[in-house]
Amino acid sequence: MLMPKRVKYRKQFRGRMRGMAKGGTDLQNGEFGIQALEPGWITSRQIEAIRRTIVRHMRRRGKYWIRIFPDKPVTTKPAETRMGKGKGAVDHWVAVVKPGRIIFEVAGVSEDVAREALSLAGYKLPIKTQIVSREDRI
Amino acid sequence: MSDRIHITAEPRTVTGKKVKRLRRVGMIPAVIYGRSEPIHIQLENLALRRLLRQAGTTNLVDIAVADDSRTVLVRDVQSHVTRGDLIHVDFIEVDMKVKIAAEAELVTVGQSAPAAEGLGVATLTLRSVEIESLPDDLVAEIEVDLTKIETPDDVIYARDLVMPKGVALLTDPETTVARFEYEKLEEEVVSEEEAFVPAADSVEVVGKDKEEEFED
Repeated sequence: MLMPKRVKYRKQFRGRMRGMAKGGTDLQNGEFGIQALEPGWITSRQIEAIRRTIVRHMRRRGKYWIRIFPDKPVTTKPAETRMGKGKGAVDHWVAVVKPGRIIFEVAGVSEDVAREALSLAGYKLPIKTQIVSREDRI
Repeated sequence: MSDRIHITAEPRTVTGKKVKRLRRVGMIPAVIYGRSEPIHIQLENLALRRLLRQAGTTNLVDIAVADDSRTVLVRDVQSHVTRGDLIHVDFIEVDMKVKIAAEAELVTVGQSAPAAEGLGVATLTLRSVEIESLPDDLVAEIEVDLTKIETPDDVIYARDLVMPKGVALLTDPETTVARFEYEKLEEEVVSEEEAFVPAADSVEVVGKDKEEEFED
C-alpha cells in the first residue's frame, strides 16, 4: 500500500478542504480517468482497492496511473482510553482530494472496458466521482 | 491547410467580477490580443462551444467585432473543472506572413508488432508537440506510426515524426513520443497485491535522531 518513505513531521493537524482542486484536474497520460466531485480523504487502502478493481477488470491489459498519493498521517487513540495524554499513534495514511482532482487514469483498453473499470472503481471511494475522457474536454 | 471559421462577437464593456452576470445570461467573456491593442469581447455560449470544437487551437477563426474583422487562433480556454462550463477564452490575433507556434495533438496510427503478438501495449508518452508554421499551414494532429515499433525495445522519438510541409517541430527531437511496455505477468500482479504492508507509524522521520539527542 502507498505511504511515504520519509516524513519531516510524524503527525499533522486535520486541516480544511475548502474550494476546488488547484492542480491535477486534467488527464495527463491516459485516455479516461476518474475525477472527484466532492472533497474527502482517500485512504491508502481505498487506493489499493480501486487499483485492484481496475487491474482485474482490464485483465492486465492497458496501463493505469494513480494520480493521488496518501501523504497525510491520520492518528487514532486506542479503544477504551481516557482523553488526554497526548495525540494518538499514526493509524493510516490518506490523500486529501478536492473537487476536480483526477484520481486514476487508464489507457490502452477499449472505451467500454475503461468506463466499466472506472465505474466499478468509483464504488470503492467515499466520495462522488465522474468519469472523464479526452474527448469531452470542451 | 485550415478552413476559416466565422463567428460574430460583441464588444464587451463589463470587466472584472461583474462578468459573472454575462455568464448567467449565456454570454462568455473573451479577449483578443496579439498584434494591436487587446479588445474585450463577449460571445454566445453555444456558438462559442461549437466554434471551439471545430477550430481547436490550430484552425484560423475570423471574428467579426462591430465593423471590424480579425483573424485569430484560440490560445487558451478556461472552463469549470468538474462541470466543464466555459469561463473565459483567449484569442490571439495572427499575422498571416509571420510564423506562429502552436500545439498539435499526437494521434496513433497502426499497431506495433509486439502488441499484435499480445505481449503488451504501445502507448504515447507525449500527448502533444509544439510546432511552428505560417498560420495557414498549421495542423491540428500529427500522426505517430506505431508500426515503427518492431521489437519491444524500439522507441519512437520526436525526431521520427513525419511533419507536414511547411511545419517545423519545436519540441526537443530527442523527446520520447511512444514506447512499448510489456504486460505484467500473472505472478507479478499477485506478488504486488500480497506485498508486505508496513505499519502506518513505521515511517522514518527526517532529523528525528538529532532532535532526540538534543532533547536528552
